[in-house]
Amino acid sequence: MKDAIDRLTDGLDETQRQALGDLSALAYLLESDVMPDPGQEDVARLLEALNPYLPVPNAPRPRPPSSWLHLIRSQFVLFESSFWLSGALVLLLGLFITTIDGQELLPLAFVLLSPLLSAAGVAYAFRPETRTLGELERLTATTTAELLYARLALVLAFNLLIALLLLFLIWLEGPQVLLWRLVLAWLGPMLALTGLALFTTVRWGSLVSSLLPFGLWGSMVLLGWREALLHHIASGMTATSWLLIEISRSTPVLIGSMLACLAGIGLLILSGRAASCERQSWN
Amino acid sequence: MELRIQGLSKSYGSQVALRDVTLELMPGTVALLGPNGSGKTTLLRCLASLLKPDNGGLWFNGLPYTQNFPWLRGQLGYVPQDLDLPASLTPRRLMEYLGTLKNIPDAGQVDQILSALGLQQVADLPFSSLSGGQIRLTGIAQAFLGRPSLLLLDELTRGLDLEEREHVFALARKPLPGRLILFSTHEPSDVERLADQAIVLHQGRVIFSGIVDDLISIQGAIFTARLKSYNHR
Amino acid sequence: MAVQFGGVYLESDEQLYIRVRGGDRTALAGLVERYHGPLLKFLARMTGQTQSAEDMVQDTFIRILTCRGVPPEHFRPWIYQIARNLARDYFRSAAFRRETFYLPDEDQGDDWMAAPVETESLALQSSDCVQVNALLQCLPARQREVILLRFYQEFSLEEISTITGAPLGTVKSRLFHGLRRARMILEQEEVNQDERCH
Repeated sequence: MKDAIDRLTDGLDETQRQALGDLSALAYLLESDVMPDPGQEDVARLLEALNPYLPVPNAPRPRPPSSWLHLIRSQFVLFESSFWLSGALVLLLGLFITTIDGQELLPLAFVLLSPLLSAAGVAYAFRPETRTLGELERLTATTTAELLYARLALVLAFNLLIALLLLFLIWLEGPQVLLWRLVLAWLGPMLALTGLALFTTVRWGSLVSSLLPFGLWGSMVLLGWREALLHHIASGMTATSWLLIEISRSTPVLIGSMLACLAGIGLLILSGRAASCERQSWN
Repeated sequence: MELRIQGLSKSYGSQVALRDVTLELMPGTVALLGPNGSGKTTLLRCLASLLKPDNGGLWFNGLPYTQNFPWLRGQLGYVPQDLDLPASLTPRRLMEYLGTLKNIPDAGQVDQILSALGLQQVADLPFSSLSGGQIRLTGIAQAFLGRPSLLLLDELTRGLDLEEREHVFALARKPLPGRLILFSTHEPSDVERLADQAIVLHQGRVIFSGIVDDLISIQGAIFTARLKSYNHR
Repeated sequence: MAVQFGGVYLESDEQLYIRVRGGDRTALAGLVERYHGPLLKFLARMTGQTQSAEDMVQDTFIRILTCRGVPPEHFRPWIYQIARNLARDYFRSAAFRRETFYLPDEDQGDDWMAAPVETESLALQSSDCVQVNALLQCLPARQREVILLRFYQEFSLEEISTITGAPLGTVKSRLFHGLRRARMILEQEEVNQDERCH
């Protein structure tokens, strides 16, 4: 009985114990409450009910949204400040020159460059880190695909912000341009090139991912500019204005942009899968 | 949390690094010893799932490596032999970054471990301005994040001064049920101060596996002479 | 370290749980064998309802199986914390409020206290088990849980503080007031019984 009383009052001060008085009746009553243990059948039934919840060791668990934000924020440490400064410089320069000059040539040039900037951003984000850091990243609960998408989100968000601001500026200077089609005409190649850069990075490394998009997009820009130079005089507009109107009103460009968007999204998904396959195997 | 290694072999071209290594390790602290080129780093990298062995099997906690990589990598803490970390990162940022990747909700753990290893003064300085010992301590610190069940520490005390070693020993000795620490070292004092058991590799083979006291009585092991000379100081 | 006993390794709860996180069914069976009974008794005494307690035991295990965070350093207080929180949610649930008449406990500032059972009803209980249940249900839930965790599960007051999330001083206060209240109810019951006999 003394044990039972001690169990009740252990941890209380001496004054509190004295104030409680004789607890033997209470201790006796509590001690007498002997509930039966669950039988073997009950245990088996509980185990049966729990089996579906038993973790499958190699099954990836979905990451909750708040955790994604945390993961994306954590990737900032890997980006040198020069990365952000260079992007901000592009934007400021575009704003400055357009404000002074009133022409949309330079902002357009920057917008045309932005898919390349995005691809370059991907190559930068996935540049060969130090070997040690790369290994330590792999030895965590975060999958390679999750890392991939977190860094991509940073690169895309940053480039999207700059390009959308510049496109808006262009539209302000030339209201006959259809803004939504101009945005789509930019978004399609941007996604496609970024997806291509990411996929080639995952499969073959950053060098290929740097060269391929540059080559592709560079050729397209040059061809487009050649067309602008050939046709703008007949229309009585500057080459830039002609090009902008053509891009924003051309049906082939619209369809091409939409296909490029789909291709880009597909490549991004494939990149994640390629990264996941690596995760499931030895490094 | 037992670790079972069965017939593990690994070669780099014609150079054999591990030959048919078979071991069963129970929770505790195990020293991995052997001369340079004996296969210690190769074994640790295979156990860390960073290197695919040519033959053999690995099981941790009864679960085979090959089918459970995502889970396994969440149970590991690893310190590589060479610590090549981005020069602009700081110990705190590295720890917080890896803590996020390891899904550790408790931010206090970073400060706790940095403090335990005596790194609080340099926690916010870039790696480019830290000594080799401080960088190694950071490498050890990140391995302990998240209280992993399997700690693989290559060249545990390389480049550390006496005080830094004491910090490491104190941290490694903190009890954690079911944890297995496997560390490689060339220092006899590390073995005596920290290890319950020892494994000696030579030319890729296990030539000894057992308790530390028994190691001293082995004849012919390259390491024994150094261990004996240390005991006679 | 694992302890060898009769050729069978008796692993700690923490070791078993880490194996459970790895999908080990044997380890799960081990944890269920260790905790099914104690958790059921704790929750049955907390809620006064065996059926609800069984459901809550299952929910407790489901929560530990689906937990994604870092494994706890000390498993036993953690699993009881989960069970205790489920009991708290049960008291706050609409179903419980429909089935019982409950009063907010103004003194304690909480809202999960069952209405006090009239002391006469203690005398009508035919067995000690039912009498204990009736006595426990007379206490505010926050006092009841401290007594249960202290007496039946033998947690230290520091551990109870962790489980309930209350400061140590508050836990001591709840234990003291709960024991005093229980003693007073019993004494009043004895007086009532004397009066009935005469």
